[in-house]
Amino acid sequence: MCVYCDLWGDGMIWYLNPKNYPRHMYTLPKKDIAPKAAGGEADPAGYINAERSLVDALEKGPEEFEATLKLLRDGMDLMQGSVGGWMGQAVPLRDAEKMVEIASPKGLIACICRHHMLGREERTRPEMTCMGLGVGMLKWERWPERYKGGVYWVSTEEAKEWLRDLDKKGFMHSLMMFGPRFIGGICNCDYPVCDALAMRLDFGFNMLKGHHVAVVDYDLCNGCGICAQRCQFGALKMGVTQDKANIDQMRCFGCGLCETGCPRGAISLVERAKLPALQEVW
Amino acid sequence: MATNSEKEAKDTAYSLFVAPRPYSFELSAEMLELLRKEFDPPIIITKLAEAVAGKKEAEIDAVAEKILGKYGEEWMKKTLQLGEEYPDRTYEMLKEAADQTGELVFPQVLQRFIEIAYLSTQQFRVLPIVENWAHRLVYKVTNCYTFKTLQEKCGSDVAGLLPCRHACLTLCRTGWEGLNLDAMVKMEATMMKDGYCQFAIDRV
Repeated sequence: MCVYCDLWGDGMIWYLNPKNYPRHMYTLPKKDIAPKAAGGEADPAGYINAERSLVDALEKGPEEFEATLKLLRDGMDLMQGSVGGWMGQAVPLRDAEKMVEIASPKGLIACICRHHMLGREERTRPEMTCMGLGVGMLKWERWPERYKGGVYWVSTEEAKEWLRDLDKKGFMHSLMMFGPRFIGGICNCDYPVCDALAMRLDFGFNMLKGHHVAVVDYDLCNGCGICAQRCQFGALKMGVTQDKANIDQMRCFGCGLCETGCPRGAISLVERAKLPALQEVW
Repeated sequence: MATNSEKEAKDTAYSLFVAPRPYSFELSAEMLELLRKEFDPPIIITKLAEAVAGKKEAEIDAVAEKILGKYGEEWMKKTLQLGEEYPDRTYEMLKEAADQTGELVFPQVLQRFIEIAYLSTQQFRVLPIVENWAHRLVYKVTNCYTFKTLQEKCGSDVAGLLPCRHACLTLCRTGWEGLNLDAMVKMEATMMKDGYCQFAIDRV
């Protein structure tokens, strides 16, 4: 079982449980109390700094790397209320659409990773690839340096349409936690631009695999290769002797990009929990 | 290298969205004080204690429903009024988001007024929200000042009947009616059984 389903699922996939989205709108000030430790919201460059420190540590040797990794995992747990350094998870389109039915308000925002990695600034609504969730977003103006380009509020239907559009473009969806038991965003990622994804694939922490795994129906697959082009994880390759898609399920994150991109409906998602060899591979 | 016109375009776009810093995103202290003065729990609980003195258990609830029900209604009406008269930047942004999306009056606008009502009369700094989505708003009241005052002024037996629930239930009802919403409220947990009260407002 996924660590968050165990803790906060209440018998369902944790990110479909409405109890993992709410937040109070106001906190009364209390005199003589130090401000809370900075979390993801307060330190939007956290990922970037973390990734940089890991790269630095790699150059110094394996011991330094392990120590830095542990420090970062513990730090994430402390600041973000995550467990074992996990604070995001891959989500297929169908579940992302269910998530936006639960979360509100929803605001389209610029992706900080694309700014960091590509120098790209998403300043208009059609460019934006990140979505902030929850009442915390109502205070976005507190961090103008993070929310360059502002926030475009969207309805549930608009949010679904936006997700479908990004899915078509080949972005995988993932959720982000901001504080214990609080899902605060849906990112639309691609490797290696996405810092969260890069931290998982390059350094082995930060983002959990999703609740599904892709399978191919070889009778339907015509070997067009679109799925392999869309896979962010190197889990999908074309067979050398047989012109069909092959899925390495140990590498599959269950994001479903291959499923939504397949023109013949030859790929489907099955529940990770139903596959004995994969049910504890997160 | 960016040309002058590109640079100008960037600067223009940014200035549209970067807000001036002096905005206050928090609740007005003056508004909270006005509500506290009028709806401080000891005021109404003293009135209740006088009204239920010497009454039997069956009568107490009816008396409490009348007194605390009216209190809850006036408490929320005043909260709705002052909450509009003392907007903060969080609320302005919420209204902007609600206008743009055609959503959010339920639950977020209702949530704001419920938070104001409790934060102005209780001794906690945060009202814990358990669920807030399109169909449900659920919040819990722990360490309740009204309940504690009830225990002190009326004794544990009367407090155990939880007559104060009438105030909270009417508060919720007045809140959604004031926002032209249809909903229903139920208690999912009670102070006596669970150590806290939990109110669930379901949109109908």
